Amino acid sequence: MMAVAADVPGAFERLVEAYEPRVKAAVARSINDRSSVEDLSQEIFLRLYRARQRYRPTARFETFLYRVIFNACVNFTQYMARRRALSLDRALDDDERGNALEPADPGMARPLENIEEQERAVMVRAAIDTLPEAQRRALLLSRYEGLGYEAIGQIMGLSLQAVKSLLWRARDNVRKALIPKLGEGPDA
Amino acid sequence: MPDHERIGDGPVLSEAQEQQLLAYLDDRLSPDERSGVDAWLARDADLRRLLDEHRRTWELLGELPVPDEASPGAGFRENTVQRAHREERLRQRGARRRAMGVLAAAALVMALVLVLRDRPEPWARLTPEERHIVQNLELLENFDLLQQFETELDLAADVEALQAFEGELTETLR
Repeated sequence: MMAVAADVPGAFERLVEAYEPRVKAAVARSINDRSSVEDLSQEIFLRLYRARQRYRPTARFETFLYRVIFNACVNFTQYMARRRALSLDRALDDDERGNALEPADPGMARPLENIEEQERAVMVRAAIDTLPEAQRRALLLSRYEGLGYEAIGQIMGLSLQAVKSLLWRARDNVRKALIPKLGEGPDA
Repeated sequence: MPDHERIGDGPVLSEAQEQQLLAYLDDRLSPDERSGVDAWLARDADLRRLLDEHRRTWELLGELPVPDEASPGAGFRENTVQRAHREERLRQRGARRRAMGVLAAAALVMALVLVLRDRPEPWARLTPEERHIVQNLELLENFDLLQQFETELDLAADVEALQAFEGELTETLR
């Protein structure tokens, strides 16, 4: 990032190449709209590029990067929620006029080779998606991005205690959602 | 004795206990703290079950496949870099235009200051007659009004003279 900030030729290209899979994975997990992952990921890299002059290496680059991802995803989710609310109003109006509602976006439920694996992935995904927004984001940062409590606190603007509390509640809620559905596991 | 209450589907823990267990699961405790939790687990079956379920859940979360969208897309890098550079060019062009605008405005102000500074005072450019007119401008502007006022003053003098004459005449007739 320092090379990007110094406008070293080819530095931004190398940064995109190095972080593309990670950014896209984080975005795909964070938003439930597959068609927007590419665009939002590109927007995140553009935000990084625009912010390059202001970047100060006070924290790890990953923390800075995930903060940009986090903000972009939160904004996107809020924007989509507003749009959904508007389109739902419109759909209800259409419905009142006798038109059928459009089918929902299939989202993340993509076919996996193994049926059991697929069912489990859908179940896990559903358990994560039913979490309150802050718990869900904290859990995603912890489990899938491998970030520590301090980094999550910096990204989400929370104290260490608040992060720990949020993470415990997120994990406990997922446990409560998943364990009854799994039944007797091999080690249960 | 358990170190917590038992309600519903599991032990009810204090916030401090929850955070301690979280740190235990994430292997973030010091050896001493870890031994403390191990001793707690050894005497509490509910807690052991709770932590087992947490471990299973954590593993399940890890089984969630990496989304397909995470794989590098064809042209993603090139498109992103091109967009960034295009934006940068536009930004620089905009900044140049703004700078040119500011410079032009500054130049205009400077030119005006220079022109006005070298011009003589308007008073110095007048002839003596013109100065006389300017000095009496107020008088000239209100000429009609003043003239009417003067006429009224003359009439008043006439009325006074007539009244005096009338008085004298009355005296004479007596």
